[in-house]
This record gives sequence, structure tokens and C-alpha cells, in this order.
Amino acid sequence: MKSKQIVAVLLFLVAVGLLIWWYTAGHQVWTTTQHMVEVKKVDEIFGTTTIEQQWIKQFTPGLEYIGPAVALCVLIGGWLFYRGTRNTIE
Amino acid sequence: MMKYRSLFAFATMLVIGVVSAGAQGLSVPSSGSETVTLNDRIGKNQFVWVSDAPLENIKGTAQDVSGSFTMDPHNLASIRGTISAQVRSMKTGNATRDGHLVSSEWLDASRYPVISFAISSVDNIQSSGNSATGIATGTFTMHGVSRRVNVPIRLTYVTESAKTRERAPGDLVMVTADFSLSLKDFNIAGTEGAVGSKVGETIKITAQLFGNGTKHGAS
Repeated sequence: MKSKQIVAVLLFLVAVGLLIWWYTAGHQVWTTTQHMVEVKKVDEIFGTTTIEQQWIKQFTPGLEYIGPAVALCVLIGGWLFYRGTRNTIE
Repeated sequence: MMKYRSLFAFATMLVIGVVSAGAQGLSVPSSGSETVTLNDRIGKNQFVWVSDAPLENIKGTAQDVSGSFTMDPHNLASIRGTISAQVRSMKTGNATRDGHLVSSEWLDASRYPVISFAISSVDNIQSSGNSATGIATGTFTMHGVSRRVNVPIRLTYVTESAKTRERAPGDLVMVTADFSLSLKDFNIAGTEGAVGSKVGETIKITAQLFGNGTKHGAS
């Protein structure tokens, strides 16, 4: 396998990895700069578990960033793979 | 024989009557009517909402929640009051999306700055000790549209003690509720094609409210 094809395969893997990461991170279309976390605690007075939602600063890129990045990886990977294959045939 | 049947029927009705009357109230030493005012010192008053759509799952909060209601711990059917949330306090974790949310295409905060729920009755009360469940019926107003909705609630009441006074004076009350609302019912159309694809047609809402009571007639 030529080095161009190896780079192409790596780029495909990066694209798949980015998609998996985006999906597991909540598959948001828009990038979020804050993340909601649930703080559960047993309230001694009420004798029950209370849940307080708090916002923490966390940059999570949405599909608006992940989409172009994946497309770029696939395009460059595809081009490199094609170039590698053509050079092998020649 | 007829005499015993009548006696049995009377006793059964008496037991059902006593049990159902008991289920309307809490088994707490407090007595009389009081006004419960929401207070963040007791616990964070907030609404959490979830929009689950095929393309996007959005979680948000409404933090600026206020209001009060009157209640008699021994007669929960008497609960009346209004809970409000400021539309501009709603957050989704994305400043641009927050801007869209309060814009004229969605909740139109400049014209309709408040979302409110005015409780007019509480039914189906099931109480146990200091807590009870029931269905609060009232008028939910959002985006300038008022609709009658039923909200299942769970109420926990704690009589004033040295421990409760560390948070706030008076008896403490916690109310939680889970319910859903349809955007269509409140004439919220959003940007074209967004509802049903990026924003759920139905929004799931969870409320957690904390308040302290002031006895009527207390100075």
C-alpha cells in the first residue's frame, strides 16, 4: 500500500471517528458553549432526591463544524486514494 | 337479613368516605391556610424542558421562576395560585439558539415576556404522610395563548422546625411536576419546517419548585 493510500485510510478513519464522537456527544446541529449537568443530592429536609440543573462552560462542536470537517477528510482521503491507485496502475 | 345488608352498605360507605376525606390532606401537625411563596434559598426553582426531534435533541432551562399559591395542608384540593417563568431566562447552551428562542418567530419574549400557570383546582389527591400526589388543573399561558391543562404534581410538606428555619422561615413545601405541551396548541410555529424536524412538536417539561409558607392571619 502506497503512503498516499495509507494517509487516505487514516483520513477515512478520522472522518468515521468524528461522526461517532459527534453522535455520542449528543448529535447537536449547532455548537454549544455551555453544557447542562444534573446535580443530584439527597435533601435532608424533604427526605428526597432533588435534581438541580447547572450550566458549565464546555465547547461542544455541532454538525456545523463536524460536517465540513468530515466532508473535508472524505474529499482529501478520496483524492489521495485515487491518486495512489492511479500511480500504482501507471 | 335486609337489616344486616343495609348496615354493611352504610359501614362500607362510611369507610370509603373517611378514607377519601383523609386522602385530601397531609398527616402533618400544621393547621390552617397559608400562602407559599417560591424561594430559591430553599432549593433552586426551575423548569427543565426537552425538545426531542429527529435531527436534534435540545435541553433547556428556565431559571427565573417565581410565584405563590395558597394551600391548606389538610385540604390540598384548596390549592390556588400562579407560577411564572421569565422567557428571557431560558437557556439552551447556545447563545445564538437562545436568541432564536426569544425571537418573534418562537416565544416572542418582547410581546409575551412571561409563561405562567394559574392553578384553579387539584384533584385525584393521594396522600401519604407529609407528601401527596394529585392533578393540578389550570390555565397555562404561553406566547399569548391560554389553554386549560392538567399537570400531575407531587407535593412534599415539612412543618417548620429549627432545621427548616436555617433555610427559610415557615413551613417548607417542595412541588415537582412532569408534563408535556404541544407547540401547536400555543400557536408557536417557529421558522418554516423547523418544528417536527429540528424542534419537537411536543416539549417535555419538568418543574421543581420550593417555597415557604406564611400562615394567614400571622403578623
